[in-house]
Amino acid sequence: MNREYYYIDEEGKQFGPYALEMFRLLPLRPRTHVWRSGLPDWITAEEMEELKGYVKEEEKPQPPVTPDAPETSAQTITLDQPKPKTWLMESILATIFCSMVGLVAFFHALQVGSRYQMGDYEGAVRESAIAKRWLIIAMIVGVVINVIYFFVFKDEIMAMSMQMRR
Amino acid sequence: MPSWSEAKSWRRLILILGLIVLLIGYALIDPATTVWAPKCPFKLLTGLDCPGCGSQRALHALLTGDLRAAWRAHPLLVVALPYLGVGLVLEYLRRRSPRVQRLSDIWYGNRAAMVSIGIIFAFWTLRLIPQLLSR
Repeated sequence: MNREYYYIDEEGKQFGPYALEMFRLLPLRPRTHVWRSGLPDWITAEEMEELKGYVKEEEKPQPPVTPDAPETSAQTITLDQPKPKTWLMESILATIFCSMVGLVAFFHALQVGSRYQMGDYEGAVRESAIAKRWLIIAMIVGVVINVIYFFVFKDEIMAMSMQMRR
Repeated sequence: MPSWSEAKSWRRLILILGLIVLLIGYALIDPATTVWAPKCPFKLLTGLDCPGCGSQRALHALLTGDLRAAWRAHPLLVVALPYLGVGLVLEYLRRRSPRVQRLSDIWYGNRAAMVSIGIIFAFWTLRLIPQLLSR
């Protein structure tokens, strides 16, 4: 019953799985390649039965921002494109447990949310990727530092462990 | 289904297996008495606890069912683990419905991150006071 939906964007990147309700809210074009669990192969969005009436024909002109509806713009963005992964909690944990390099990841992770709020979706995706990269660097630096410290303080660490064992 | 996502699920599988091995390791071995558990560089240099110090011992205590020892080793971790766990589940389920997605955005959002950092620093300061006084 719960089918999973996927699509491929212009750059050939695959996105999903989505539930049908979410999938219908995505800005899919008639020619967008889509796939659903159970289908033998990818089809275009216009061929998919359950997307009838949900696929936008043309680039819709942006609705003019009226001063009496200031709250709505953020709401529509949330529905149009899902917020990319922020890596916020991961970078906090990396800062504590791996190395201070995690702070760089943290500041980029904060940018994901604020850019998304501003409606800069591409900026949010970019910051998410940068945060992820710095997260990996923070982890590697953490491991390297620990290995170096292990060799520098080898005697102390051995003594400490022996002491605790008694 | 194209092979692309298969590679991704393989990666996820390896990640989960690695995590399970790590948890079994922390359950069986007391990190305080082994040289194999990473030692905190900050503590080695200053003799003071860093914000994360004690979390390996706390994890070991939790995995062996000793909640009191876990609380003594790192009380904040005991509180933080359920929070982090719920966040992970929300993140996993976020594609299911817009409501779950919104909840997960708030749960792990910018405001939540700033509050977490505040709590971590407050916890660190409170834990450092007795250590600094007893020097």
